[in-house]
Amino acid sequence: MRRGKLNKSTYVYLLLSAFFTIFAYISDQLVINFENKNRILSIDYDDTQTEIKSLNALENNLENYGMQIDNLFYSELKNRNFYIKNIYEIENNKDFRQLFIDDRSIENLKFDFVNSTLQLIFNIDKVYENYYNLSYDDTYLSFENDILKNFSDKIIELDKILEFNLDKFNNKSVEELNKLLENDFSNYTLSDWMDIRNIRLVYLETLFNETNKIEPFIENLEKIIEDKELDLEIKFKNIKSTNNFINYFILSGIISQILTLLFLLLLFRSLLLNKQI
Amino acid sequence: MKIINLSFFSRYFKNNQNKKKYLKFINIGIFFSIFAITAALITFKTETTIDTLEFELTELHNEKKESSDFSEIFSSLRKEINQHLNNEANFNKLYEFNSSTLLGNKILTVNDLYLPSLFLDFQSSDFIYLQDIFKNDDNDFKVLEDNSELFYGEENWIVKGLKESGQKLREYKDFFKKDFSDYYDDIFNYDLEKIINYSSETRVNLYRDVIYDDYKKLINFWSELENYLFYLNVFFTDIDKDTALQIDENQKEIIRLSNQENQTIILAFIMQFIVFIIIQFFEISATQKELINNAKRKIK
Repeated sequence: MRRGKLNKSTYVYLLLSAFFTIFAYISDQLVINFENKNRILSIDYDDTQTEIKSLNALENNLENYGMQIDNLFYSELKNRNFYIKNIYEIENNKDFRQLFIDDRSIENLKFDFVNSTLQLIFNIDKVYENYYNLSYDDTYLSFENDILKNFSDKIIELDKILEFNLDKFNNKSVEELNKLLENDFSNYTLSDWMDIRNIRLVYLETLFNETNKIEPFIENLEKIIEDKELDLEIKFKNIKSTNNFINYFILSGIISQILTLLFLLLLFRSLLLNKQI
Repeated sequence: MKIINLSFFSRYFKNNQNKKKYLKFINIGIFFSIFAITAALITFKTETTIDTLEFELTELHNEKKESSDFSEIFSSLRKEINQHLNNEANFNKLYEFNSSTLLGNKILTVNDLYLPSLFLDFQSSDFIYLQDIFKNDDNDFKVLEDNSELFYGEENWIVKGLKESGQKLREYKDFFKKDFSDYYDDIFNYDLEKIINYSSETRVNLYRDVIYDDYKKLINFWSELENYLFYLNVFFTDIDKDTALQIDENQKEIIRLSNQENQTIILAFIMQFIVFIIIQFFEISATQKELINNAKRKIK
């Protein structure tokens, strides 16, 4: 063998060094590529997580407000005939009237009747405030529907509710009905008391029917949250597997770089031992 | 194009005095390279195992979160049902007592006291969901009952309680077929005549009206559901505890593997170092022998 000519093993070491250099470069590029992919996935994952939190907050608010309305229904509907039956019996049944201690107790009962009706209006006003505020919530606005706005608009316009149901009252104008809750009730007839009772019921019926219209929206919201959570799980798994790939590529890159160095060293060793230089 | 400038190395190594020294350095370099490759391979192998364990850990964390969420939901549902039942009981006690007086007897009927709850409960979305569940024999809750058996074994008190309670709830199947929305006009009734002209048979303290019977069934259903949710609550709390234990074991295994990785690398270093020393010994001996032979040839 002539001095200065490379032998077969030298070529092999040289080629292997070149191969592992290229492999290390490819691994590095893949790490960069997967890091970019992972960054996009992480941003998407964070977005979905924030979205789920907002949707959950909206759903919780709707459920809490719904429970407030339910509590209102349970107590109000059980009492819906209580006052009017008492007043009817007081007006028409002397024996029944005598069961009351004195006239003041009867006056108190009538006062309670009017007062609890005003309290119901006050409670409906609170329900309105809850839903009105929620209808301007950013998460809700993203749905681009007017269901909560329509609901709050419908229940706050008490005069319109009365106007729409005038056939259910003895007093045939909204003004007269409103006055029933403001005036001194000592001269009220049974039909006036029945109107006060029906004002309560008309409000409750409207609230009941309008609340039922919100239910499909809540059900849809629950379904959306469920889908998003499933989506979040898939995204998490994707991030995890991308991270694994990144780890593998980093390790492959490191091993390739070391192998490049090793084959270079073997190349020099071979050159030295075979007296090529 | 030249990739490596061999002439530079050629000049560098041409000095025979340095040759032996450089060969030693190259051998040390080769030794460290092999060690680095071994360490990287050990890391690669350990990382692959740890990745699998970490994936399992993530799954376990999700499982734990899910069981905690379920446990919380069941606990919250039980609280709501208890609250509802207490409110009903308190309200009813007062009204039933009033009904037993001459005054209350005139004004309270089953339509006033029991019908609103029946009507509202049967209209609520939660109740409609429960109706759908218990209408079918093979439902989501039945799956949970079977899962509890797999988790605890057949003889466990939770499995027995859950199955017994589930069976009782499924007996309400026919009750759920009733349509209480027909009572809408009785609830939202604007006619005074209908309000005051009620049958004496609908008085509250007679306890024999259809509405009262249905109301009692409804209350019993809620009580049984609360009981059922209690078992589910315990079941999911136990799943939660069990998953926490699995998470703990998994984490310990990851820590053990990480520590083992370091120890294996150190061990590999020692083993390779010994091999390196042995190779060096033979290589130096061989080179020295060659030098002696060359010297003898020169003397001759």
